[in-house]
Amino acid sequence: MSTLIDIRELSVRIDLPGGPAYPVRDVSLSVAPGETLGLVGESGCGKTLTCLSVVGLLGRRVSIDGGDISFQGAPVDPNDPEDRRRRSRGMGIIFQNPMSCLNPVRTLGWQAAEAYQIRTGESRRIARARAVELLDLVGIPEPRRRAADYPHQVSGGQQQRAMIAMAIAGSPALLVADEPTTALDVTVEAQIVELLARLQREIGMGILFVTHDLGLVAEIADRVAVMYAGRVVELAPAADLFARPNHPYTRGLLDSLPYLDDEVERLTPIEGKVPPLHAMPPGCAFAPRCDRASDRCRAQPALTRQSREPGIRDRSVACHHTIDKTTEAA
Amino acid sequence: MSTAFVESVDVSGGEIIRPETTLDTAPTDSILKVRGLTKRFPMPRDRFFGPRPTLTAVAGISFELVAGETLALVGESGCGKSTVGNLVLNLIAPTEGTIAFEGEDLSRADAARWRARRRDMQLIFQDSGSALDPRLTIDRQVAEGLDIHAIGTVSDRLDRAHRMLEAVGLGGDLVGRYPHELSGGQQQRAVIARALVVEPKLVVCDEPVAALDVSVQAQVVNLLQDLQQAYGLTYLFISHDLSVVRHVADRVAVMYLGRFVEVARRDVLFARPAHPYSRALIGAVPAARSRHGRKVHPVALAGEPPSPMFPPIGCALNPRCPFATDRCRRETPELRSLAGGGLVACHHAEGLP
Repeated sequence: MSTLIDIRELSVRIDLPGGPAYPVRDVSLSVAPGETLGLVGESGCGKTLTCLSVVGLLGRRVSIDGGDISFQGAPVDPNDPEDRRRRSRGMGIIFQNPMSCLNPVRTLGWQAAEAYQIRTGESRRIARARAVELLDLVGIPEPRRRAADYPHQVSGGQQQRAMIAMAIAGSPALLVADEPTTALDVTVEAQIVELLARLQREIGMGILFVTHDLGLVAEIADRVAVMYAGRVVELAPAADLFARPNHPYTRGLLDSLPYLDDEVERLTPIEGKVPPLHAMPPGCAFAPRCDRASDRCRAQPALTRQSREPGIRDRSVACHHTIDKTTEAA
Repeated sequence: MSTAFVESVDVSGGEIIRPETTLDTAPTDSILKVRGLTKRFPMPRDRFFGPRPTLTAVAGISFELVAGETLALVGESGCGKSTVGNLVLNLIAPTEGTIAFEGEDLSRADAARWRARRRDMQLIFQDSGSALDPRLTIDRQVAEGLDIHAIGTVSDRLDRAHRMLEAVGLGGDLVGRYPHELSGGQQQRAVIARALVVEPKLVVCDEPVAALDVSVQAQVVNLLQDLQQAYGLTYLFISHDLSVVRHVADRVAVMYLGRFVEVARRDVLFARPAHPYSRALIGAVPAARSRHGRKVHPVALAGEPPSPMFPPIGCALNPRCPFATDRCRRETPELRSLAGGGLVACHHAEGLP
């Protein structure tokens, strides 16, 4: 079995008063054991909903409209409670804001023990002992004492560590991390990223790492998927993506960043804004902002296809006018 | 307890930066002069009859701003950078220290005087969604500033507001919209227009692009730079994003636990950060955010920033700093000039590996 999670042409539907909207469309992704897949994009691009579909936490009025997800080789059935249990045992999730995800009236130790108990079915007594070990594993100092603390008694960084302890209780095969460091300061972010890398080495789990931070994803991901307006527009090994972005949106994102060693006076933004969900253009969603857009782009959505770059496997792009070597030279 | 720290603060405040140490950064025609600025917040008692602890958010900082420049304040959350911005505009009153704007000492100015002076000193907030009035169209909100300062005639004000909105890229039918009808980037443009319509000289930008997506962030950064050029604005630019700061600032002040730990010209700071904390911050920026790879050797700090209610004795960074010595645990370093330019508050800045 080479893939841990395999998402095929996933579409997600939200029922709004004005009719259904599709914030995720035809998304295909996979994560192999021990691999980190970075999922990047701007707010509203559908990256969080993709994650929530994987773990089965879509809310009311939000549903999977099409496509298949298989986890550890077996298809996922969102409506089967038994299958939900299988996923909850095999997957852990970390959210952006630990303070609003931890239970304020339970101690950190209690919450970590609960997660362990649910995943492994062990007794409460064993789970309690294991909870302290988990808090230790994620680098919380004095874990025995901290286990008796409530979330509000510890700092944001420690809360996020406790959240990670819950997520990795029972050694899940897949960790879904949705913007796990966005709410943290940079020096603490560096510590959490380091921690996730260490846990991945020790447990061998695959990580689906969602972030809007392109710099961070370059640092931690093996492969990166870039989402725009609900679709994956480009998927490539991290180094290749940053060295040679194929999609105009990826290129635009990288160009719009300020760099620490920039010589330029002005930044190069992507003009315009993301089209709203209820008014998606009929063709490529990026066409209205793209300087390469042609009539074809405005008429037909660009389908995902494998990159033609020689020597590169596992690289795909959804664009009618891929940036390749020939256009580069022109 | 916090009292140990409060005692270690030089209460004479204004003496913390000595004349020779300001030379490097002291401009000839400064628009804003801040001396020994301190803010202590009284905190709730732990026990009913217990002493009232104090939180020292800003501990005796001094700086000057030259007309037309951008000074960036950087640091992590809770370091006091936003408090400095609020103190400069007197949105909160300082515990100690003086603020002089265009040579006028505003420390003892009354509310009326401040209101008058605020025409020249405006603020751009981070969270444009909550900074805008949800029940007013944006042109009305922009014109409100003109009403308050009685600029122009009543009939002329809406025209001025429209011209300002046009200048920030919100022309046409966007001017009559309500804030919720705008995207995040457009809301931030409206906030900028509202601040600039009264033609201020100094603008405090408190994390103006932190809430925006990168593609839009670049648009707003460019806009802020264009407006600075066009109107000769002076910016106090508060941000935690070093790559944005590297792009917009002329000088940078790095804050940690209410103090400046390093102040330097932008190029000096990013090429040779002298303070271990500056090195940690710059080193923590992912390598992919440099076009030619990371140049600053990163310093890994242990743990997290301590609570400003119970700051460490000596250098505030000492429990986290890999280079800390006994002296750092005893003696609070003061800002002093460095041979290479810039000011640093570190006992060992010259001898660090």
